[in-house]
Amino acid sequence: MRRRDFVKASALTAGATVIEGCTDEEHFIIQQVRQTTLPGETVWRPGVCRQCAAGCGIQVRVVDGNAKKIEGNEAHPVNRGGVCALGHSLLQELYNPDRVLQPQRLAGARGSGSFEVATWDDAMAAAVQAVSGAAPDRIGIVARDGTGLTGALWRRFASALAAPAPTFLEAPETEVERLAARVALGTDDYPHFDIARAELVLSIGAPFADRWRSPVHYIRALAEMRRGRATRRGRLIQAEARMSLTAANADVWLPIQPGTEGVLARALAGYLLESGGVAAPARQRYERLFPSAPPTLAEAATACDIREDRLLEVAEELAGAENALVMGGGSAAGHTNGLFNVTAALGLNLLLGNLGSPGGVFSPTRVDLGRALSSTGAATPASRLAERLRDGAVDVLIVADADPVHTLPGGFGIADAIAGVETVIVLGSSLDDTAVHADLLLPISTELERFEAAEPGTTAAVAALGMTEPVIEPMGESRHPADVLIALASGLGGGVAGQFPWSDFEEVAEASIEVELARLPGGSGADASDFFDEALERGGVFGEGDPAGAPPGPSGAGPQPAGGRFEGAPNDYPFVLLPFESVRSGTGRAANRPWMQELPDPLSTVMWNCWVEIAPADAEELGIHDQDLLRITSPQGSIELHAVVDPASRPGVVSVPLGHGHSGNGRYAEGRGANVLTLVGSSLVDGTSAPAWAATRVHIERLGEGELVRFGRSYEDMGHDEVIPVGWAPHEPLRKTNPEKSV
Amino acid sequence: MTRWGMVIDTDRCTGCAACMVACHAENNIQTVGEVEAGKGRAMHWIRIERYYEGEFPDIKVRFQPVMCQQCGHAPCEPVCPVYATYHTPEGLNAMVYARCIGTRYCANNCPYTVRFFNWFSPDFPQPLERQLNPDVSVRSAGIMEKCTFCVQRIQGAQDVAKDEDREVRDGEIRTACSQSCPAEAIVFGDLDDPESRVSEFAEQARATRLLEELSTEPSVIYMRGGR
Repeated sequence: MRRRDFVKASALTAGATVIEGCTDEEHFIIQQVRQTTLPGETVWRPGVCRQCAAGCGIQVRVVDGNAKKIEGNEAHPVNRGGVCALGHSLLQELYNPDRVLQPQRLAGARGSGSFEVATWDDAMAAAVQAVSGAAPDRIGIVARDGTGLTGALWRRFASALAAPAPTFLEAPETEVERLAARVALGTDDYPHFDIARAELVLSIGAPFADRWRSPVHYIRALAEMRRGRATRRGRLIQAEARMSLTAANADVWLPIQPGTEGVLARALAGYLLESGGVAAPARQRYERLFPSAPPTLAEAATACDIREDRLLEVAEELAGAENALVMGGGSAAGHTNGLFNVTAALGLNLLLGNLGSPGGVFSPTRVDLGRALSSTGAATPASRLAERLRDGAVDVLIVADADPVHTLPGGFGIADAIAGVETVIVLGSSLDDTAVHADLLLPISTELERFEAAEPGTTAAVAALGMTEPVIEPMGESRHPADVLIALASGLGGGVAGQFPWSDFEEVAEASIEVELARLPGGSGADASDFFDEALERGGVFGEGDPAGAPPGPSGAGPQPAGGRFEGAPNDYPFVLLPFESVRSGTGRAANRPWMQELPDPLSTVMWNCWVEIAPADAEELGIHDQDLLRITSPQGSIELHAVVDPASRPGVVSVPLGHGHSGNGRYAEGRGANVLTLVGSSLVDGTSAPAWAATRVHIERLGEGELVRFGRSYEDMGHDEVIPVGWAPHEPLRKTNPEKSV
Repeated sequence: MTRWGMVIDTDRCTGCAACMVACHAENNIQTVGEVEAGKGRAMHWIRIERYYEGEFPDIKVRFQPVMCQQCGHAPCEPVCPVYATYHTPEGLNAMVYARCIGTRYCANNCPYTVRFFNWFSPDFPQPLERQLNPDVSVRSAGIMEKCTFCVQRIQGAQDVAKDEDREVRDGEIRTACSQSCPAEAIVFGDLDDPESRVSEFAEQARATRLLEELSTEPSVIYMRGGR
């Protein structure tokens, strides 16, 4: 039963005893209401997880109006029933003790974090006044993601105001990966990789079993590749400077020198071209992309700092595999030469002849429900917004469900520049690093409390659109962010209000479905209203079958081969800094959730804190022991962190997880660790507007002893029983080593 | 007769830790905070053990999820002076929280270190307590706890099957860790049913159990092999 019907029926049940002659439909609805509200009974309701851009489908267990547990929706093509750690922890965003549940108005100095409660009427009146009083070109809009209906609504709003297009805070490498796919494969977005049916996957930088793009989807595909077929087990080769969770799961790990990923891909292409197994059309297409002669494996071995015999083994395996595919992205996209690196990686697929074939690469499938709302895909890059903020060219800044102060590089200077903005309006649910700078903080509902329509940020095998009704009633006075936007537009009146004729987001979704019906999977010839109701019951609109559609191939010449540049001279700043997303902290959204704070990182096993991973040889040279407090300094700034001496770290490279070091954000998050992005400068990836977040060098100084809470043991304390000798027999039972005793 | 068992395919497991949070959510497990966690008191009924193999650059990592192995000959059971931990007819090492007096003998005797003691009563600041699972007791200070194979889910499925006058079907019961696992690395079922998926796995050459030489007869089977 739809929410609207529910509300109607709730009103009816109140007076049901005095209403004579209820119609059958009303009677049915009343019964439904009673059935779904039995005390203590479990009801499962479909939802959409919006904790990252993947947009997995979920099922939520509801008892007595409270959400108890999240499981995966097996019908959703992205996750097929799986849920990640972050997805589970959505319940602790919903019921967070520090959640903001009433509109707040600044009651002290800007940035002091001192607010007073306001009514929604007053808060909206203030927001309308601020927006209507500002010159359109002096308005800035930041929203969380540009996909789907919500992104389209923000675009439409900016365009109706004649303000600059919104800035969407997608993962910084996403733009690079998208552009590289366009150049190398001719697709309009990052393609679908049929990992599950591949025999060999070479991933150049893409940490797809970590928190990158669509973790549940990729982890499932990796498991299927290995153990989903009775006949053979697929293999994964990971070329990445850091031992990520993906590299930890690889059959072969190539710990490559950061910034040389493109050289590796080009040298492998050279081997494939020389080996004679490449058909002439494929060769021509590749040479259109990269006309110059590729480097040899020997040259690549020197540049990438990997033994030549290991490169040769990988090249031979790639050339000999029946169904091989190559992915690229992640940190390879975060260097200044990221576009070259990823284009070179994706271009290898042309030579492998896997476009549109099982175990290969497919064109992305997008529903793009929002295209009727906003025809332009326009967006202002974060770097451009930062420039506008620094130049004092923004009077009113609207931030919706995003934390630009925390998630953009320190070199962008957002934290300082935001102080110069006249009015900052934040739609959020916590007092995060951006919200503390707000004049108005408007509380928004989580995805469990609102009508949701979300497209996966990364395409699965078939088209998908998650669409669900609210799973539970909203907490406090929180409202749907899109409903706040619609109310703001209405309040502004005139042409802007005319562009937003709907009463709420559900109406927008229903209208959009009606317009796009014929194009949607199963929509052709269907009744729009029935289609909509069935989609809500199922949890969305999902395509079926195997992936189809071969990428068209290169759209022209690729970027010129280039090496990566790093901020900071090697003599002053000897280490390359690699920020990364840990499954326990992501980009910082989950920092105030106790489950996630107490979750050990799978590799370092650190809990409740942030750390820096350093190779044993480097640690020894600098006199650093595990847990020591270090000062990490880049040309941009400096932070203090505890050391994790990591046997899998590449010497000369240090890695720090993102998402720590919040200035506020609640009792579990505040004051823990430091934000590694404050060390990152303002460099952009060449040929794009994306920040080069893996292009910084740092200096490390030991400050003294420290303490780091771990679930397992440190490398120094392990002795030998946790380090298994090479040649360990696969069927021999593993000796279990005890982590710290609990008693 | 039923004997509940679990199969974990370590070649599928990526160590993503989704099972750990799923377990916390399902079983009302408290978080203890940084200070207590630093004393080794974090309560993860299921944990991901991480092993390194070799040295850089030829270094590999293996992950192994470990929870209560629900031993057939459980070292934890005979040492409990008040019979708070006992063996159920279906092969579970059950905990009767109301009987537990917190001697911690069971935890000392467990070779897998999967038992956790509540040093303090849990604190779920409002409104976090609204998430608590009504099917699972919240344990107070002085009580020992551990993985139950999600016994509340087993009982729930058995109730439904009884109402429908049938046996519980293979795959009908999924523990929280198994249901959440993106890689489908964890399978739960009846080891005494030769047709069940867990039995099928148990017979394969890749199957092994932890610390077999102790003759604890664990009900958790690990599938080895791969990388």
